[in-house]
Amino acid sequence: MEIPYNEELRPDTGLYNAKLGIWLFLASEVMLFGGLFSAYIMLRLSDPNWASYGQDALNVPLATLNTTVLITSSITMVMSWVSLKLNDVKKYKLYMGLTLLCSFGFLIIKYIEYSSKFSHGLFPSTNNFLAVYFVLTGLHMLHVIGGIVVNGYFFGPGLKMWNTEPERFTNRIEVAGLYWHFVDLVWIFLFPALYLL
Amino acid sequence: MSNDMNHHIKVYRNVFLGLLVLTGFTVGASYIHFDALWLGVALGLAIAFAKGYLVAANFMHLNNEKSFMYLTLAISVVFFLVLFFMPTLWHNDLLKSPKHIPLQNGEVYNDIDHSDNHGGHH
Repeated sequence: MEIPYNEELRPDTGLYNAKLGIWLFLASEVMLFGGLFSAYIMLRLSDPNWASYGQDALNVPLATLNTTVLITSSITMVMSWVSLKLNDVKKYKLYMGLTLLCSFGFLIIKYIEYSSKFSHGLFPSTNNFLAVYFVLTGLHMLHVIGGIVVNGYFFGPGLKMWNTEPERFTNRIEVAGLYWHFVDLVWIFLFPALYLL
Repeated sequence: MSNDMNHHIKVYRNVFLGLLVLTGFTVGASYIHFDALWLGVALGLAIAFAKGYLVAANFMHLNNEKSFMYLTLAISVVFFLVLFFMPTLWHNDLLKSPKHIPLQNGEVYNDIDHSDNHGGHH
């Protein structure tokens, strides 16, 4: 059975199905991260020991670099979609490849940060701040890994759809992009909330 | 189509540069010492929301989306704000939080005992 509205717009929503689907998923993600943010504010406001938890010991330069890497991956992601709209598969491969490189770069930098924390005996169980820090950044990192899996598929084996259904493939990249920009968006709030404020 | 896309590419490039500049602002602002703590937090969050808007409106195409989508996302926004302000209500004790909070060393932080200190002033 063929799934309808992959390319053409559904008359009642005005959208192709996958786009509505990914936005509903992202809405649930807002609730997931929103709940954890809420827990963070709650703990921070009510824990009288908060100032002693060493929040200012986090590595701001590394996190700033990671922010830049993730923002760069967002522009390369959107450019990979633009390239398909312009029928330029070579450029699509280039931009999607760069997006993947940035994603791995983000993970490597995060690995350096985590290793440094662990080597100093700082774990999620150490105190409330580190619990919040590891849960929020860890969950975000899982999302980055999820993005790498999906983008990696579209960079490699999934690309063959371009030859048979180019418009559907372009829509797939737009949907993958919406997810990836959301991952960027979450980091935009995590970075100041955990490292700077 | 091509001209339209060229315009999009320009917008994306400008948004990218804007995000980099605002990231610089975020880091810079964290080094400013504000007398009132909330001012620093408000500034940090304001820059984050500005960056979030740039990403959502341009990269995620929300500045030009179908009305059905806006209605759907409006529900998310409402519940997100509820989540965001719930701890603040709790902290102000509108939701009747417990008065005694245990400290790490086993002592108890007593939120209501401060009123006793006023007795020393004549």
